[in-house]
Amino acid sequence: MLRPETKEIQEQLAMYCRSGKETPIPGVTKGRLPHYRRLVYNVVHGTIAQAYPITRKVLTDEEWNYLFDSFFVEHDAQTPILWKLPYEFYSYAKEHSYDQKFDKLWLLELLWFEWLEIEVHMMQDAEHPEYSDSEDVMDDHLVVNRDSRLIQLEYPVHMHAVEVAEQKKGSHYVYIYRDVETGTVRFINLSVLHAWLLDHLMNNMTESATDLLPEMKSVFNLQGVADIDLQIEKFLLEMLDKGVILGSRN
Amino acid sequence: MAKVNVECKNKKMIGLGFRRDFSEELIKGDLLQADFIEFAPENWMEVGGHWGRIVKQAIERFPVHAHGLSLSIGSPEELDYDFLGRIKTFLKDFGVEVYSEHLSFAKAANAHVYDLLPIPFREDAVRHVARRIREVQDFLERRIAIENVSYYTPVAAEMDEATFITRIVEEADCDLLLDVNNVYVNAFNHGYDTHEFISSLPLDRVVYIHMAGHEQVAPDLIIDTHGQPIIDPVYNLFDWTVQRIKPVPVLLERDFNYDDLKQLQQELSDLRKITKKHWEVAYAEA
Repeated sequence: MLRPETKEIQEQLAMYCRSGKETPIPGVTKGRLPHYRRLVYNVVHGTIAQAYPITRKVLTDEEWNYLFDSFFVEHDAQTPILWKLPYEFYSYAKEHSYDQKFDKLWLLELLWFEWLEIEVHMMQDAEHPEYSDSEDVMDDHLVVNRDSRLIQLEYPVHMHAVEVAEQKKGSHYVYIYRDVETGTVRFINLSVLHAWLLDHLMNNMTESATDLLPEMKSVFNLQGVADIDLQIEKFLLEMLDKGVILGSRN
Repeated sequence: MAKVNVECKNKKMIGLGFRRDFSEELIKGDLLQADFIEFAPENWMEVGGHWGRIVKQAIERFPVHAHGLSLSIGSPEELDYDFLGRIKTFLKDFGVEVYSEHLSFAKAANAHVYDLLPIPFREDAVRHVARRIREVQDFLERRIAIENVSYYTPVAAEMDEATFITRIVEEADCDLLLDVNNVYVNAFNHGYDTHEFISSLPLDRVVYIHMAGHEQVAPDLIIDTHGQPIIDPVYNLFDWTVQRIKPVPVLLERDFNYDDLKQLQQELSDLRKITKKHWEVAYAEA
């Protein structure tokens, strides 16, 4: 069993690295502890700043330092995998309502979007059913790229500078995906109708776009809208071209 | 306990720590020629896309060792079995030959700090850490190697470092990853004799050697940065060390300053020359 004193010494050392507040730890060489503090700080700050380049840029130095330092000291980092720590930074900012603290209502969505770019870039490959080239995007059972996230934002921080995004509050649907060939992360803006269709195709692979049309028309009150089928087909062909739709299920 | 003793197929291999910045060069094998690679599982596990593909190419081409960062074998708290399970999967999926971790802690009071903090060299810590290593070996069903780490201050020490390492290796019945650069760094920082230190370790337990560069940041302090070329005194210590142990794989670690890959390859060649000089004849069959 570890003696309580040894346990406490280890915890004091770890806490010192986070807070910088020295506590008397027996037997340490004078002047050496700050090197540990510097090393730990640099690793964590480097990881977070690299993950959130836009947030870092649009916050003032004072805001960024306040947010980062609070996270560094207060948050007990849980992930053993360093590249996933930025998600905990986003969660911390959300949990402590930093959007309201800084009166920057777009802040949490900007953090979220920057995190999702990392997550989609790094995450494990999703399992896709076997597929081949689609000959009829309306009637085929389409396979949507699942190395992706389909999200809804209030502020279009992915498209505009934050000052502009703040003026465009609404429902903005974004599909963030990883190109299966190159691994490059891309995003596409979607209308609510297209987001609905993509979501249904992704989660219900037994139905074709034609199968989904009656429900879609009912949900969005599209009865009587001319050429809706052609518009959907055009959208699906575009998604096929962009690698959002991979093909049709074999 | 059903332990798998994973033996390296060729113990005279010279390897290189796998880093994103030179991963493609390493796989291509033109500028960099390594016999094996080492992954930090935490940087490569559960990864897909571009890097997932690079990893697949790498493990198809090279024998693989793994050197952990976050298991925090010296933590005062209980082991993270969820994480250990993921490590086990990683070791299996990547066909890892030697899995090693640092004799340090990176987590305390339920929080990771992502750096290697020194464990107090104390009797209770010996028993605590040895028990944790045994638990890890049982869970992974394989022996692990523990690395002597560089440290910049002792913390509440009640014994010297060599005794601490030796006691843990013996009580845990684990292997030793001897980081020769860390010995040099610690000897400089804490004023002890490198030969005396290495001689006092259980050298029959050494299954793996690490070599790296470092940076002197003050007249009395070296930081183990892995960012510079290996200096001559560390090569000399390596030369002295390999004469006292059986052949084992040797790894060059470099974490940044990758601009000159030719120079990195030169370091691999220099390490190979030294091991060849001492091991080729004496251990012709190994």
